[in-house]
Amino acid sequence: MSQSAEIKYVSENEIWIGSNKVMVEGNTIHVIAQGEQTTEMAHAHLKLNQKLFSSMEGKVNFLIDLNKAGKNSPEARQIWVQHGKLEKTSKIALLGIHPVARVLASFVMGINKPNNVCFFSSEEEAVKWLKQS
Amino acid sequence: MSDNLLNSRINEFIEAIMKVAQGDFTIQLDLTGENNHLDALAMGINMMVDDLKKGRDTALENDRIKLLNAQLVEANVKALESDRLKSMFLQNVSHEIRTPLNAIIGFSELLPRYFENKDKLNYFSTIIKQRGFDLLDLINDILDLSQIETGQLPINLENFELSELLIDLHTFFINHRQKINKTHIELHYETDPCHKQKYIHTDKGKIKQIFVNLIYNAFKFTEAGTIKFGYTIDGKNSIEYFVSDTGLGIPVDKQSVIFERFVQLENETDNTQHGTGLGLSIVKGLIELMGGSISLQTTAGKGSTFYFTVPYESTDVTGVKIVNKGIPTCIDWHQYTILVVEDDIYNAEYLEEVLSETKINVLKSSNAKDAIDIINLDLPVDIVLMDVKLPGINGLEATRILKSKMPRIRVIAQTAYSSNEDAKKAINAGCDDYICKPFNKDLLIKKINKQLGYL
Repeated sequence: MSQSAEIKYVSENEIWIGSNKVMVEGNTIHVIAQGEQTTEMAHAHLKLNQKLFSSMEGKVNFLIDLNKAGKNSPEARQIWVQHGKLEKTSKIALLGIHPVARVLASFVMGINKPNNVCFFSSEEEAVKWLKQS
Repeated sequence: MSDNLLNSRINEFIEAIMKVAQGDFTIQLDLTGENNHLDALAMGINMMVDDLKKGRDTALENDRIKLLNAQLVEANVKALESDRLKSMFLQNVSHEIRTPLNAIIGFSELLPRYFENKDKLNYFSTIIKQRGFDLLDLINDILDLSQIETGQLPINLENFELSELLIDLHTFFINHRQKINKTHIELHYETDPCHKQKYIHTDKGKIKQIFVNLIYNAFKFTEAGTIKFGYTIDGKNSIEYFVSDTGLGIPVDKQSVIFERFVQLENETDNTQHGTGLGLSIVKGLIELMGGSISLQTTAGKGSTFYFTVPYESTDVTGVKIVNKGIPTCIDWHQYTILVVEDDIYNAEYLEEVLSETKINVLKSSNAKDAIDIINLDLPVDIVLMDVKLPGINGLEATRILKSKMPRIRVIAQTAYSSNEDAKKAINAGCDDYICKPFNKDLLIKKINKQLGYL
């Protein structure tokens, strides 16, 4: 069954898109992806992020945790790549500690691996990279 | 994980990859949820399959778009070509109208100068008449094509003797051959010796029209040799007709377009004959209208043969023979009165001139209202020659009124509306007969004679 892409606001800083949890932490949008990542969910993320951008000062980073994520549809991957090209986006850190997450991240980054998207196997390293200017 | 489990998992992957290789992009491997290397491999395969499917779908979509684009380009080319052909057609028609008009106007201007020279007068009037008929042929061609294209041309089935039709055509084209100075070309017709049935049931007029168009073309493009036409029995309910010549033949690049409207082949050696480029379109349209088909065999420089088939029914029953009673050589209708209703003064004058030879009393009216007034005056009118398109009340409405007042009066509609439908309308309105403009004097006299016979 495909994932719901409904946006639910728990608080100003915690929003859910289907089974994905989105947290606003300073100038970082922290996404914990869970289950299959459909095209509809990717669209919902893009919509939500553009809304969040308006209330965030300066450039925005993304920390995307793929440890519980399932397959990304090709269209969803393209939409995530678009996130990296947005004016407001600074960096995107993809996080995963196991081989499945590493494979998912490779597919998201694709053959034209963007400079501002990087994969990390530890959250500490990812956060450190995001904070680097 | 045991070796057996590992082998079984790897076999699953191999099976999946083989199916993908055969084009099955629905394959998806299950993940155990342990997020180990095998799950990573399975996830990678699944996502690669998705990418391959997307690539294939995109390629198919691209092919579809390419095909649509090609169709659009083709449609555009056809539309432009159609526009070009229509412009060419108008130029052609204009040329074909102006050419005989030039002779008609020119020789008409010369007539008064040669008033005393009877030979010249006869010669000029023959040319004027012939060029008038050429104009009429052109108009008839355009009307035929228009009716074929709009599906308004009715099929008139009748019983007739096919060999008689071929004899008529042969006689007609022997005269034509003489007129165009091509008597050195042999002209033959052939019948199928196996065809025992004397009569067939089909549209004689259209079969004749098809033959006439094809044989005209054969003469146009043949400088020497033989022209043959005829038929063979092709199956139980189909006759294969043919027209062959030893003329120029049709170049390969023209063979696919010769049946299209407004297309004309050039005959560089013969500039004496022209055409509208409608003949073969009409031929094809008539054949298809009757449920038949046409084909062509041709060799450039050696000649062409057109074959066409039209469904028919054999019959032993003869058609209704129209007995031509002829026109009395000396007409004296002084005891009769005719009312000519005609708004065109020249046509009215022409009718008066023609009728004066018969001594009939002629009353004239340029509109229907005056015509009705004349009838109301109880003038002794026996017959009315009624134009259809008139100012105010039209001729058909006027006929209804006249017939309701004086059912005894005979009415012949005379009109430039020339279709069968127009003839039916006239009869339905109460007219006793119908004659189409331009009409031949003898035909008019014959029709009046017939109506006077009912009085």
